[in-house]
Amino acid sequence: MSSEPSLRDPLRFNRKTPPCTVVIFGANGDLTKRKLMPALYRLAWEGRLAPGFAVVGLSRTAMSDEQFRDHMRESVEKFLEDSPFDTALWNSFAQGLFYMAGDVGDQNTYQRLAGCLAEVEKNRQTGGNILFYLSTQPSQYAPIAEGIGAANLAKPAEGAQPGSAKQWTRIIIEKPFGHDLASARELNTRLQKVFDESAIYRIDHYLGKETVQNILAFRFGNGIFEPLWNRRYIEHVQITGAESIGVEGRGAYYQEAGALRDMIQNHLLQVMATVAMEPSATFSADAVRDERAKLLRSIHVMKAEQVRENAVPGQYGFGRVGGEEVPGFREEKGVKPDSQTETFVAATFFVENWRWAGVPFYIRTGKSMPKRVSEIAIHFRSAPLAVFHKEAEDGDAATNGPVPNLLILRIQPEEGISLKFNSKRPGAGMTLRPVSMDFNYGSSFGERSPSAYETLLLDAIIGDATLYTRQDMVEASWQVVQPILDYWSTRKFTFPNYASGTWGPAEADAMLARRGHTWRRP
Amino acid sequence: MTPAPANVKPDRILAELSKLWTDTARQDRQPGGGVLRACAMTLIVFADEDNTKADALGETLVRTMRSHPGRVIVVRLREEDGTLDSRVFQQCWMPFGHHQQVCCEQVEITVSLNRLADIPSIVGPLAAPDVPRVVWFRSSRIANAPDLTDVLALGDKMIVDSARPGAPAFADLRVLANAGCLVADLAWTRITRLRQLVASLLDGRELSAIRRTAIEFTGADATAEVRYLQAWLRSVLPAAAIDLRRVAGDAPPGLATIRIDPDVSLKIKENCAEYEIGPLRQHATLSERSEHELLVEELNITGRDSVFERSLQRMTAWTPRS
Repeated sequence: MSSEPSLRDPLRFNRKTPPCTVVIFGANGDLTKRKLMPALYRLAWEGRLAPGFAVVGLSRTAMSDEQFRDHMRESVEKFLEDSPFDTALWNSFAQGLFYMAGDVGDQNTYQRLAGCLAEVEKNRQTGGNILFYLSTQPSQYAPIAEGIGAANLAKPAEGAQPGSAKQWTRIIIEKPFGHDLASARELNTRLQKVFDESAIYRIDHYLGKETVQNILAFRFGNGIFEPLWNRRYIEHVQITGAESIGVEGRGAYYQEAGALRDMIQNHLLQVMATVAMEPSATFSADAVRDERAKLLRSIHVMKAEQVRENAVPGQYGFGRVGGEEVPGFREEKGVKPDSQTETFVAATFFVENWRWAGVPFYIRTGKSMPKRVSEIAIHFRSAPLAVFHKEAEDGDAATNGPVPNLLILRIQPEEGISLKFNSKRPGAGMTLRPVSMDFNYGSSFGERSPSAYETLLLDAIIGDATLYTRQDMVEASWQVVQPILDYWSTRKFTFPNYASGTWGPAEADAMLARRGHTWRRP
Repeated sequence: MTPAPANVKPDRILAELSKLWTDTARQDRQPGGGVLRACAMTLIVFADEDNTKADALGETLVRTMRSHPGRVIVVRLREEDGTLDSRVFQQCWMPFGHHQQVCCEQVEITVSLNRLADIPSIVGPLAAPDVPRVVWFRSSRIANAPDLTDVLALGDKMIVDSARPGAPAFADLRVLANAGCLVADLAWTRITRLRQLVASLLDGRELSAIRRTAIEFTGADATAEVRYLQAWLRSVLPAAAIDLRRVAGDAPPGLATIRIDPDVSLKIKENCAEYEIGPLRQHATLSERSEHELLVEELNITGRDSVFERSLQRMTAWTPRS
């Protein structure tokens, strides 16, 4: 045992966070109000931020520090979930909130920001550590990074600057990371001219969700599942990311993006990579991300004729969701009446490695579906010998025969895990029925799960990039979806092809039926 | 000694538990329904039989079961001679939006002090196999028991609360810890957030350069929490004198201030701390933690807790007030 005195108590204390300033570009926007500030306040409530922690908000709107603090207080009180609002704590936290109005296209803004940060560093003892959070239009990412660089605010990567080994500067950007492979590469090139790759944190809030992280714990912390996690025992995998709402005021943005870019290129392919990746040698950020990236690079890149068979676009029309009539996508504000944008995608992917060869990964995402649900369903192969088949032939063949085992990893809304297996129905005869073992993260076991933004912000402040995506991962996932984008751009679809409140177009069902499978109804 | 009555025989209690599960499942036959039996540990609680406080313990246990589901065996101690009785029941809850109840089982055994020696042979076989066994002493009466050797052997971990009357002396906890027993004290658990705050304020400083620290407390005597804080600071600030001072006033017993040279000071208030570090004045929440929260923190730790053990070794001789 070490005799050196230490303040650490890893069994009880939360992870230590260094002092820093978070600079939020787009501080007057929705994300700041709904997610970022409530998450930061919650971290302060838990005592997880260093004493001099500070936030500098930046946007075009003219505002004083006090007005910014008042706005943020309103937002935190309104959007804080599962947490009490403590006025005294807020007053203390708010002392560290500052605001600067500025145009991100004007280099003078960055010079003024440099002055502001120097003052904050002096008064709050933040040690010169800065986390830039770009909560802005994606088109502004590169210009902002270049503005930061020109003002000499982006220091070299950690440890690289002589005499200030502990000082760091990091930048967080939100998806989309480009709108295709070429633009993603261009964005990466421009960001990396200013920041080292290790200082670029590409946020994918799906990876911050407890269950997505728990996939790693589930797979690699238990000895019993990993031996089954391959083509020999798993027949196919279904990944669903469904939303019950339509585009809701984001029609103009969504029309340019579409479901493939908005959900599959980032969130769902990352989830797939987490489900299918090889175990990493350690749990270090780069070791885990190396394996994720390797998996993404192993996904078969479709040719045009394969896209036709393995990718189905959809667009919602008028229908009913939750008992209410909802308009079709083309009737949404900001959407062209002849829009060809897909609001639904179902695609079949194959991983070309020894573990997964021949196992279909079905991914679907859509808006205006019957319910909001994100889950992964692992469909295991049937038992090799149907020893109970005779009983089934006697009568209830369709209902009483054994069904294949199913493992459900629920991401939202109720994070948890279910395992379905067969059990003998009590009484005479060997009749089987499926039963379920459920583990529910939040409600069953009462613990509050941190929000994805709490987890991800804390990780970025600490410098743990495990749950962030890396340049090679972004480019690998664009490689996968680019042929689909290219093929669809040459086609004219008969949209809408599914009614709001349904699980998507019939072609999506047909895509699975060709391999003898059906979509699970979550 | 009179033989134990039939209703406290382990086989009989286990049969009753089994029947309880069957009956519960039978009551809930809706599709997708049923009950989920959850068991991650056996928690053996020694508590005083006292009807007025029974609910407080019950509530703590129900809440604890949601994060640490398991088999709970509550041994209620009473003064009268000769009592030995048991009953079994379930604690169930329906998670919001679900069809399936989650249930944990509870066995309650009432025993008089002079029959305490019977308890290990009853409780031992009732413990769920393959999961940790934790013994929580919440009873003041148990301090009067002649020999607890067999009772202590029931658990992999023992939890006490030095802030409660009748808790064992720190010297005894030290003896147990030195003998390899996993020991925990909820009085220590109560200061986790305060310790974490102090640690964050001292982060990056050269600890061996800190020479003087003062802890001020209110009340007639230093509470167990104050003593633990002093002991912990002794363990992490080897060169510092850790002064303990009583401040006059009518405030309830507890911590008042902590001063760490040269520029850190904390004023402990109700549910919060006001602290100064250099030019910064800040506020931190230190909400009073419920017994359930304290218990959960200890149940999360299943192995040795070297930070606690080091602090325990540095506790000054002191006998809790009875």
